[in-house]
Amino acid sequence: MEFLHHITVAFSPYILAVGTCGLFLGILLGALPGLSSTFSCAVMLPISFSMDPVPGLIFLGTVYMGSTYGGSFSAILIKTPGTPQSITTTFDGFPMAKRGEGGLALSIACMASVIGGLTGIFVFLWLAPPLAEFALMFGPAEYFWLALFGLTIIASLSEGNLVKGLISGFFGLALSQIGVSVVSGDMRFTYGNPALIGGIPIIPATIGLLCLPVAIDLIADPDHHLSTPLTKRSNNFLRAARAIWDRKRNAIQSSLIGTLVGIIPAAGGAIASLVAYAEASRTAKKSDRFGDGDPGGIIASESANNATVGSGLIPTFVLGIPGTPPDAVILGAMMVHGVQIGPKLFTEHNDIVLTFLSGMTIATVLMLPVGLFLGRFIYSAVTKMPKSYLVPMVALMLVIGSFAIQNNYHDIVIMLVLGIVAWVINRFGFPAPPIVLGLLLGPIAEQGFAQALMIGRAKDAVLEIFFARPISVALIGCILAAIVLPPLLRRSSLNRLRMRKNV
Amino acid sequence: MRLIVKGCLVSLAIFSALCASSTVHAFPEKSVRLTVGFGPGGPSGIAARFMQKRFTAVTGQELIIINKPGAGGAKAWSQIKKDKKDGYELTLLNFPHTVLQPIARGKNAGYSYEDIQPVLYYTSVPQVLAVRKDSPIKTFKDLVSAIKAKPGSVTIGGTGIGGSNHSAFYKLNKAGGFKAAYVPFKDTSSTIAGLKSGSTDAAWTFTTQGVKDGESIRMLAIASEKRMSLFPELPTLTELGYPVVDVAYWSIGVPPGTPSNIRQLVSDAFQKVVNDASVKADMSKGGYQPILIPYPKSNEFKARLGRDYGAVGKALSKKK
Repeated sequence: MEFLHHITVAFSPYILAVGTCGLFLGILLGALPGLSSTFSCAVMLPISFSMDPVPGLIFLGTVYMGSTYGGSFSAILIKTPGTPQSITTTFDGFPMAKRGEGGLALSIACMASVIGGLTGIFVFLWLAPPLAEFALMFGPAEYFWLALFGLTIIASLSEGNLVKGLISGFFGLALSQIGVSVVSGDMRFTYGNPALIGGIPIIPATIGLLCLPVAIDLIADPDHHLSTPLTKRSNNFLRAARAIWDRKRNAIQSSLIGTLVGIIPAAGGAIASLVAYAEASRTAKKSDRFGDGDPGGIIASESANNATVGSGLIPTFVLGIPGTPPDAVILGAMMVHGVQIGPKLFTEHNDIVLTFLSGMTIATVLMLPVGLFLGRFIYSAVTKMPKSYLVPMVALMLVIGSFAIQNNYHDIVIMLVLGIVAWVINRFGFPAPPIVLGLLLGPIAEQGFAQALMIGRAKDAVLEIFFARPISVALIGCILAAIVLPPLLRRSSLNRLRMRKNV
Repeated sequence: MRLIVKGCLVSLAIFSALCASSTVHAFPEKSVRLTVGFGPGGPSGIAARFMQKRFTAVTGQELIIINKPGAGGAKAWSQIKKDKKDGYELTLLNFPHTVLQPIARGKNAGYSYEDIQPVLYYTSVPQVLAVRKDSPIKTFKDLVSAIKAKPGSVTIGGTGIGGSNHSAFYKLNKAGGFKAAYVPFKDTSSTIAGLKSGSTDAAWTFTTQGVKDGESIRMLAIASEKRMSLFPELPTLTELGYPVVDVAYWSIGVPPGTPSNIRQLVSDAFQKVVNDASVKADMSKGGYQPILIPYPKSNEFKARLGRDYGAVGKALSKKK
């Protein structure tokens, strides 16, 4: 039980202070719309350079963990994912907040994050070297199928009108084509405008598409932003624990999905929570209302995205391939700190790994009290704040969030234009989340498809590369299940209903 | 009245003279912003971070690094023109990217060759041709025979189209009369992931990856003029009979139209940082080759790279 020994080492006041600071800063940065985990880690990088390698890494790791969780605050309260990982948290988190259960939603998000976070870290602790091999099973074709599987949740998001949901999804895919194409080098749909050569940036686009309509409605609608809870002193802690206990299968399944997706290089928390959400909504009970304020949606999203924090570090440490985008920053920090990565790290420098993981474990457990405290505070601030203060504040955050990461004025314009488009099409029943999915998954699907095609042609094995690899087959199975099963189940339950009536 | 005006003018003149002299003496006086056209963890991001670590200790001011990844760096380079010409808004320039892209993309590139104004080339990395450790291809000769056995069937990964990996791929094909399939990836880490997962047979990448991934990839040849002291065993392509040299360079860049005294100040200040012993040691350990081509020599060097890569750029853009 070497790990227990290192836990006691990590319990030093210094490590605890570093971890708590990282967590606190991470949650706050993550909660601010637009400031992604990658950005938060990059901003904190110079501070970590002033520490020794291990505390420095713990600091960055806790910033990452904190920001992944922190993104759920704005996702739930103002429908703006604070980080791309919590895009899926908005689907059910905001509807819950709208009907007065925001405090409960925040508590659920916190607990689910801790569960997911610990799962990812423990998997790293015990299974890192063998699981790193899993990262190497993902080739271009697998990325293509994974992205397609992510797109299937458009179906569960556009309850009622699948056609409109699909049209939104295709609009998002079309937007994702703008800019330089990775596989051909061509400049597409930029019309000579330098602002577009980098493509539509995902963070400002998400802020605009999801949150700007909410901000406009805030002004247009005389009601309070969120309805206040009916029961004045309900104990959210116990209710949240209860909600998770009732959905323990979902929590475990999503944590594991998050862990696996985190290992896949460059997939990251946003994809992980999408995949977990897709699976959770597919396996949900009929009474669950995913996309309409079901606690299960928050559990799936938050446990999956926090699980990627620990598991994404597996390929980073073992193979030197960043598992998630922020891991690239952590990898860079390790290089500058002079920590050599690779399998040797686990044999010769096991101390570094174990102390790092101990620090991360403690910080993740600390996230429960810190998160619940901050959640309560922020929730009451947002619900009690008069609209005349809330609206300008939200508007300011949207603009700053779009601008901050790259100091680009264009990004603010993109955020505003897409936001207005989303508000208008919402009036006509076209949902905005599928646009975000298209934008996020389009490049992954496109690059995977084109690369697989190039490799397949060179090897004269185009069909084999797409359809004859084990993970591809499994993903194709999931896609078919996601498309075919829900209508079949609905029909059979209708039949049963009819039969009962006939009897 | 006239006296007052005169007095004002005189004091203004003195004041501005003082200001001017103070800027000459101390640079930087405030934090310096360096925009990088790639993500924080890749070879370019790390090349910038090496300096950040010691910048404050050497110059007394902070170096703020802003990562603007997109379009193979072009997103950042297309905005250089708008930066202030005071030496505090700088951009990291990659070569040969900034030569090749304007040729391949024409007026859609977002910037022109003239917008690229290097003031201090400070580090370089040669490119290497690598396979994964357990590949049946053990040596460069094995790779050549595999390519010749079935032309067009060997897949070689690299980052992007029209970047340095693509240019090295093109040059070697031309030198050897080879036909192989180039598979472009989004960034260096996905190129390496593609190589390690067996998606591609080989990859063009940089010596930095040889340091980082040394245990899991095998470098076959290096596209530099001489062998590198970090990898004494690794043969150059020239030794192997294919005279291909393709090295990526990084330079600090200023906006076009920046006065020459400011260019000199920026060059001098960064030169001090790069000359710092620990920065040099960090770079060498990471597989980077420290070089030093300060202003105004940097102009000649840019012209040389422009000539060298002009033809390659035209060929790469025609091939599409």
